[in-house]
Amino acid sequence: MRRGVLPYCVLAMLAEKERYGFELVQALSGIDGMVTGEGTIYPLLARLRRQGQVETSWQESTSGPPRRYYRLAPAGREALADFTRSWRKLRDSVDDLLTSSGEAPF
Amino acid sequence: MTSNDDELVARYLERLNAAASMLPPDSRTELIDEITAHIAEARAPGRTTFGAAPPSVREILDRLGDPADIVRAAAEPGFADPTAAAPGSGYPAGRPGQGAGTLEIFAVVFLLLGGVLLAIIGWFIGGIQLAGAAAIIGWLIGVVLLCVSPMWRPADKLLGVLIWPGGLLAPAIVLLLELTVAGQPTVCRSAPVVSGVSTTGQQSGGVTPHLAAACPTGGPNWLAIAVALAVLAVAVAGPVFTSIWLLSHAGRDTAAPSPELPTLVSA
Repeated sequence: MRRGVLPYCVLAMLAEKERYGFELVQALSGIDGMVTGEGTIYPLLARLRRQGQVETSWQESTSGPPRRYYRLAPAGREALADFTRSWRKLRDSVDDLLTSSGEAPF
Repeated sequence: MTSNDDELVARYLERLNAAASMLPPDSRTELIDEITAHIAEARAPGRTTFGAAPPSVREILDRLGDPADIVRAAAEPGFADPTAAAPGSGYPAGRPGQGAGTLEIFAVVFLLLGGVLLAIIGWFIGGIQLAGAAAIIGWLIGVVLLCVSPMWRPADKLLGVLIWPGGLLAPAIVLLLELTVAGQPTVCRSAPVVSGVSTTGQQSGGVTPHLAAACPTGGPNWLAIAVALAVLAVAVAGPVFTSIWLLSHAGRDTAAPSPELPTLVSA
């Protein structure tokens, strides 16, 4: 389940502002259980770029070599919006199901 | 930054480079560049995102994960699982370039036959002592190649080492022992602890005159022979099975893509 949402989590993180690779990886690994191998995020980012969901640019850094920054492309923004709708519907349905079966929603 | 740390990083990147040889050149270069940059960023002074203490290089590399997993994520047409892997369903790799490469084939060959071949060579050169040492070295070469290869999971590597040490050398020794004791009292006389075996040893004539002739004091002890064959069969089956397993599991993925949510990243 986490595997399916990971690309969308990346897009969501880029929705507010652009970020560079290392920054994204750190933020994602802060989410418990989201990633076991941080290195696998980079192929994901490359794939998102190839599919046109994100765009990248190189920016100078004060603390070393230039960094590659990622930002949402229009197609990515749209995909994130679609996902958010689907996710909320799913989340609400599952919550209802869990409540009616006696489990407390969280 | 110590030179030991630099060496750890260099070796990690070497493994990544080796594993990434199956990728198209521009993907490979990009991936290696990004991982290199990541490591440099993580090692940069003032980096405290892991918590209070600055991360050690070992920590940084462990968090990055196994180079084989990273490359697998890059090679998948869909997106391979960066989260905890699903219990090994292992659907076939089937992609060009995945699977057993030269290193992997040599590893399996040495695991299976290294002990036997080097033992024979060692025997001719220097007798039994050299044969023994050479046998161990032959098998150990296989173990080293197995561990160095990025194409197997740790569980697969453990299987390769445990079943059995020595590869086909083990059954070869078992066979040698069995052949030298054939015709000896242990095989021909009835085993005293096993009830139900004829103590007179008079087997019905004509079944195996050869064996009967080799066992003048009594007939052949069929139970002992059956046990010997069974032991031999198991001793051979073990490494053969392991070899087939290793060859078929080289580079194999551990999880299938999830179809649940709208697939953003898929073939």
